[in-house]
Amino acid sequence: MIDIKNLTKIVRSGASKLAILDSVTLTVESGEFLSIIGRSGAGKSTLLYAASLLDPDFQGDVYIDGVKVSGLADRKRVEYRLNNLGFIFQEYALLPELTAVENVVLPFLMRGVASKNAYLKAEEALSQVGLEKKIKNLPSTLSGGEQQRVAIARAIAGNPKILFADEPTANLDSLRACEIMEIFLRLNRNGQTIVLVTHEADLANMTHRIVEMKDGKILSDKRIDSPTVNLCAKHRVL
Amino acid sequence: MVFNTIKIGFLLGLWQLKRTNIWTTLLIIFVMTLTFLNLVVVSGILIGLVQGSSDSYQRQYSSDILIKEPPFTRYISDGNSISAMARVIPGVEAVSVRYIEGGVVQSDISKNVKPNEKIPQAAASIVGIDPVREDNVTELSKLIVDGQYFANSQYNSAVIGSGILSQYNPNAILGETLENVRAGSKIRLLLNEGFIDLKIKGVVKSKVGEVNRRIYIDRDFFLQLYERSFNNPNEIAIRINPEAAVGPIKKSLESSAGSGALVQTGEESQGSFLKDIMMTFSLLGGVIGGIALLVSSITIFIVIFINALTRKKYIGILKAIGIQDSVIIISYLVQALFYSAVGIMAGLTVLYGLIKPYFDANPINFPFSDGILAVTVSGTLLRAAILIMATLAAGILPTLLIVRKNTLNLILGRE
Ligand SMILES: Nc1ncnc2c1ncn2[C@@H]1O[C@H](COP(=O)(O)OP(=O)(O)OP(=O)(O)O)[C@@H](O)[C@H]1O
Ligand SMILES: [Mg+2]
Repeated sequence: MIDIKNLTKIVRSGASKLAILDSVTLTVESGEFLSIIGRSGAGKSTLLYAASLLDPDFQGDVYIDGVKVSGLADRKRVEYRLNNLGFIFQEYALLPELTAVENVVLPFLMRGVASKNAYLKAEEALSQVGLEKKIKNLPSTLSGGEQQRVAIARAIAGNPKILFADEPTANLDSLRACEIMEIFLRLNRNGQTIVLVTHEADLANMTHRIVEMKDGKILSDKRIDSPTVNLCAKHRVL
Repeated sequence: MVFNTIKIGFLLGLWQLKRTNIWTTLLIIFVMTLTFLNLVVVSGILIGLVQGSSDSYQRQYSSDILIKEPPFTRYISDGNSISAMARVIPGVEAVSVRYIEGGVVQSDISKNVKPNEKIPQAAASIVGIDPVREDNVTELSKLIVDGQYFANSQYNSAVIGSGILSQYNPNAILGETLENVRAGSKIRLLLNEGFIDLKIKGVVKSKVGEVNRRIYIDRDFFLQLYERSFNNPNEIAIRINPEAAVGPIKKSLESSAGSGALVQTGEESQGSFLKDIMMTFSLLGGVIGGIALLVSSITIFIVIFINALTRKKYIGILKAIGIQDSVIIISYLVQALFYSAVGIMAGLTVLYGLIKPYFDANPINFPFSDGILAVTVSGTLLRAAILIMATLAAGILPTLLIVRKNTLNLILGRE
């Protein structure tokens, strides 16, 4: 469970100051699949960066499973993120000099998993996203969808308490986007808490709950009682 | 924990090295190699100029120990017992006893000189030696550039230093050198009463003043000409085994010579002039080496800084996926270490495989010396170690600067 309390981020714009996050309070239950939507510039990414501690520079508090995690020192924060949080960027954010499996194995090694075991787990994570045949590929030899799947494998590999994804499908065509969503849905069925930022209504409608943002504030927060299923079928027909 | 950090840092560094563009890698290594050579060769040549002169002085003249007459005396007092003693000291390999007188020589003795015509002449040191023993000490015969060396008991023959001959000294002042004298020529040696004509057997060429302004003749012939005693030589040059220590041998010679002779090591006998120049050049070499080191540190800093700068985003990603600063820093240190180590290795190969042999075979031709490349293994290793330290220091700084920045800003390229 993640508890976001009065999250405010103020930035300078020229001479004046601007609140790009304005007292955002939000609770995400364990096992929930939540999507955040809103216009460009609404503050979705900013919220995700703060909640996932990628950007520690904000006011307000973040609690995860009842533990206050905002305000940790750099070293502790990096360690906390390593062991508890997964983050997926729109641009995949893979290390170009490392193969798929090396990208995924790195956090395992950092957690102190012995090399052989770490590689086994990394390969397992890659096969979960259907990439077992391309583990030795460098990112530059993978398609966008495949790269994003490597990034997902890397993010979920440590069984994070929460998986954050910031428009993970924005660079992909609709079929690839759908395949990524199917991976998320499967993960969620197995209990993974997911916070997804998207501006595609179709995708948001596949999740349990949609939070809409505007001007750094939460505009609406509604539960989806019957999420769309099997949306990809129509793409596959094409 | 610490071990894991180092292990992952190494792994990450190796991965990056492996996948870096081969030409980039080669270029960086090339720069490192040049930097290292710059560090070793420039000061090596500077010091080598003086070292070369000092080396030839010892090899061709003083050898390892040189015994001379004490100041303000004309001879060594008991030459026989000193040289006899020297020959039996363990470690001594060869001993040459020299007898010296100042003299004046003339050329053109074949022509009939008119009574008031000035005869070309030059001053020289006349040295009586045992040719074989002298050759054992200084390998004088190897310096022959014209004609040949002489054998024992060849009376009326001489080997002449190139410094006395004009064809080897185009810029010499008139009266310092003899013209048209070569192997086979005759010269006239003026004595207190009368003169004697000597046949030039050979010419020795050396840059050591003590050798190239001498005229060598047979010892017995010399003693006869100048009516000198066998027991009173002027110099005793002693070559010792390279493995043997000079100090103790010098000590026992001193005790046997007493106040009748001055015992010096080859180095001591050079006097302070060469030593002072050597110090100055060492200092200069040190300063130039220091500048070279500074320049190389800056080069390495820039190379690693650019390397890290182009990977700013990836450093951000590494932090974002939970990799600690220490691991990232180690990964860049590994790369810096690799570049400098391979660069130094390549430099050593070029140095000992190419440059050093080249300079040994073709010394730089300076008026006062044959400049060699003065590099010692310990000096080279020291420079290599210094370069590696500088590389590590220059490598850690840029990475430290970048790793401290806001993770998100690094990834998004905001700074
Ligand atoms: N560090 C910053 N300094 C100044 N302005 C910022 C900073 N970060 C974000 N902003 C501004 O805050 C607003 C919200 O940015 P954010 O990236 O969160 O929007 P978003 O909802 O993710 O938009 P998009 O859908 O385009 O990704 C934008 O107007 C952006 O320009
Ligand atoms: Mg965004």
